[in-house]
Amino acid sequence: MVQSTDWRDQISCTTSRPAQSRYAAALCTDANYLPYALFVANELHELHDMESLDIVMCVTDDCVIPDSLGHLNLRVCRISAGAAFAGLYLDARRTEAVYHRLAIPYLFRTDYDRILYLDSDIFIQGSAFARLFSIDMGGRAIAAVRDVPQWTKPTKELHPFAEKRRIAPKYFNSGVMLIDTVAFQSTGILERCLALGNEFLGKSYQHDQDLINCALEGDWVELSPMWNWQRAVGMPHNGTMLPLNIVHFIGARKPWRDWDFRIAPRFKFALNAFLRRNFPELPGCEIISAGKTSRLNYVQYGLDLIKRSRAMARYVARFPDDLVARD
Amino acid sequence: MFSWRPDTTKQAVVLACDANFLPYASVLAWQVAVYSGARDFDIVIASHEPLDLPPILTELGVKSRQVPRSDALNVMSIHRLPIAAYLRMQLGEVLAEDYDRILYLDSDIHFAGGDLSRLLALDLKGAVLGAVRDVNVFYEPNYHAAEFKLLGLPPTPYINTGVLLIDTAAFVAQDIVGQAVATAKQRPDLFVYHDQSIINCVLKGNIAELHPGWNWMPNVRLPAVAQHQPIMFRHFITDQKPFRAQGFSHDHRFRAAYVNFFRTYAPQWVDLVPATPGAAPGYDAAIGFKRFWDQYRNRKAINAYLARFADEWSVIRWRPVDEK
Repeated sequence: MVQSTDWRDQISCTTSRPAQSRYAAALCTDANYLPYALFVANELHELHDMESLDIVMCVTDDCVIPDSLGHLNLRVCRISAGAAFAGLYLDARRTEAVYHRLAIPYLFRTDYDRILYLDSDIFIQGSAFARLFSIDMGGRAIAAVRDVPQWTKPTKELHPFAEKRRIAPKYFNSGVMLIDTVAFQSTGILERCLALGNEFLGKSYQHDQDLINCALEGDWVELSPMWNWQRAVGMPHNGTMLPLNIVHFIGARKPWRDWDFRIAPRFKFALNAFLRRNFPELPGCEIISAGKTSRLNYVQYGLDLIKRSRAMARYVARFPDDLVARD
Repeated sequence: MFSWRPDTTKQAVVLACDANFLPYASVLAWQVAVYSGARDFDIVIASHEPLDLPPILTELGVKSRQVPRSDALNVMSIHRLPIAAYLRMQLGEVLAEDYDRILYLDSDIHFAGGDLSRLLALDLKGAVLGAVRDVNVFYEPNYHAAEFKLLGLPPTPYINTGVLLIDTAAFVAQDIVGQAVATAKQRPDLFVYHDQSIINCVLKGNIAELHPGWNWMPNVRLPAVAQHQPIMFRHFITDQKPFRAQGFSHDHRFRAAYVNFFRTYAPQWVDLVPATPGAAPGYDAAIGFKRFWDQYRNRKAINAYLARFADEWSVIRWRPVDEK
């Protein structure tokens, strides 16, 4: 059983250097995802438009960051969670590190005003991070993007513990979260997450995402889907004309694990260049070299554009400015 | 930022521009420096005038090279184009002492990433240059270029000169510039597409044909095809450039790439890219359907063209048409 009463004694971290900004982008990774998390950090370093931004890389003890990435000036953080997250649901692809993101606002509560948490399976396309960090969150702890099934079906039930939900069905994807550290602490979100994890042990299938959604009970602000575009794999042609800032490869298919070549080569080129330079021992993403475009490909293109297109247009139109959050 | 201090290399990626196109050339030079992996080649921005490169490019080891104007090239038509458009014709000669191979790139190109070291070392099978055939070949396998019609030649592979992989020794040995000047003097009517026309008329199909992913031109028309092809260089032909007001029909990410670079590394150029019309562009299924139909009805010709390449490293050697 998870002992949530004494979690403060169990969660701690050591960091490689002090904070150098009041804002941070944070990633959590284990050794399996380290190259891809570092690729995201590298892209952030290349592209962000902030005057100063700490890039915090929360790693497990078995992670070794190559010397070639010293220029990123990462704030490397090794989290020790004791038994705080022990026993929570995990699948074959994930380790306990998936829950570490929940501890970040607590661990860095005095260092940063706002933290942008990012998953490692993302691709950064936009750079307006300075304005993102300063958006009005209305005193809420979290700004995030709805999970993709709710884009065209906003009332679709996604909460695994529906009986615990008291306010709204809205449910966000926790791959990209802008976190206000003060609000996060004052509302006791981590305590509630741990209590829920304890209560529904083994019933959570979306890991931290279920816990934090349930703990917040709809009390979060919505960001434009431009900040966490989740259709790049399932409907690849769907967002090409939109000003996407962050593309998120949800599901089991990733640029580096694309067994039937459904992810566009363009997402793999930049990652491969990074891997060749910093992880030459890794094989890189396989890119299908040539071949005909099948009828099925054309059909998919057509379906991407017409399937629930009106509902999608309504959803996108809710965010006339991708730097204004909504209730 | 990692640093690049080349010692000796005999290969280079070369861009040519004037001061007006320097912002866009800078974005491409940065993309080549960052997204080509462990690079072992130089990156050079050539110009007739001295250029002030953004500091980030200097940090990455990108070189600026001033090339004197060639009086011989004054015979070329410069209708609508800056004289810099003909600079590419000089490069094969001017840079021959420094480099065995150069990859020339137009400045209105987006680099997604790829192994340019391998491309620079590609076997051109004796050809002076490797290039991609012009965009018409996607739709017309036997495209008969106007210039070749004027020369009385049969349909012959006609290249786009936005991306040229040049064997400099062969370029000098065959006096391509001298032949171009002579052709321009004799047949000024051949200037249909400026330097591209003259280079094609000199080569007459004597080329190493490269995979279209090295110079992908149907950026607006073939999105479904592009999804499944290795496309390294996107070339924004026509006036619809993503960094111009007419360029909103392109995928938004191309515009974003320019905005990202300017905002982060060259704020003095941020205003060059017009703001996206409206706060968030509409979700236009009608345009999508039009593109779907355009691709679907041309699918046989498109597939036939692409199926000629085993992969992006394939080289198809063509012989000069008058030798056939």
